[in-house]
Amino acid sequence: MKSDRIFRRQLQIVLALHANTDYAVAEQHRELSEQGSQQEFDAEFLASINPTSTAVWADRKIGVAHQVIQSIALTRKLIFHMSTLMLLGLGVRRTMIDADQPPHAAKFLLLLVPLRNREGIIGDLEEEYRTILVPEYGHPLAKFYYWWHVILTCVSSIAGAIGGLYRLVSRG
Amino acid sequence: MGNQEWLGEFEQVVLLAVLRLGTNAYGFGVQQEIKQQTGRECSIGAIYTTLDRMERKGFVSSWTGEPTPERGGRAKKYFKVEGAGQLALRHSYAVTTAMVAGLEPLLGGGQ
Repeated sequence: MKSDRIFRRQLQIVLALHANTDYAVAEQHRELSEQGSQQEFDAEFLASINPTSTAVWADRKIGVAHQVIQSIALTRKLIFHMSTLMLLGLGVRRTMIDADQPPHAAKFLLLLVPLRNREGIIGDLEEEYRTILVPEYGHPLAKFYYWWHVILTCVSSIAGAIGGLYRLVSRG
Repeated sequence: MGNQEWLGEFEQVVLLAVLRLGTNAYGFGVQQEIKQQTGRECSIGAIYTTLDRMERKGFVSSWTGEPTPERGGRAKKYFKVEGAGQLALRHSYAVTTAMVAGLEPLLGGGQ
């Protein structure tokens, strides 16, 4: 559940990045066309003074501007793809790490277990989860069984505590 | 036999599992030993509650061991059967043997 949420969030970030890149490229194209028309106007003006050299010079300037903008767009796309791969890689890694861990929320229930046994019980349940439950049942079922064993453990501990209290009271 | 503390059935099983495991008797190991030898599934909580009760009676003693990575860095709590525990087990075994005497044909054991 948690990994799904993280993945959806990552996807949103990636889409937002993509949208921004497209918008930026469109903006640059618009600016380029505006600059291009200005250059043409300047070129016409200069061509009236020196028709051969000014027209070539203006074309070159527009060509260089085009190349610069294209390289910027390419760099942005490269950064976008690399960040996408990085985010996806992190997501997969996070999912793998999460899958190895028993459910964190279940550990809070184990606060009901007496302190003197808590460390041992949490460790034993974790060892059981990793060495028996996950290899035998796979992650989703293993998590379910882990929850079930945590509940059984808590019930046993509470019943033991109540039994001890009862014996204490009955002895006077 | 009169002053001896009686062991419950589950207490006997847990004590025997601890005895079988020797120096490697901790909660998860005891659970697996019981499952392997008897096919009985029991929760770790039930084992700890039983061992805790027997520790108060002086049948077992415990100490904290080393943390291991497969336990998420948690330390193991080891148990050892004490003299009183062995005596209680011997007593239970003697009682069972005495009660079974003469019933071998019915129970499928003996000569």
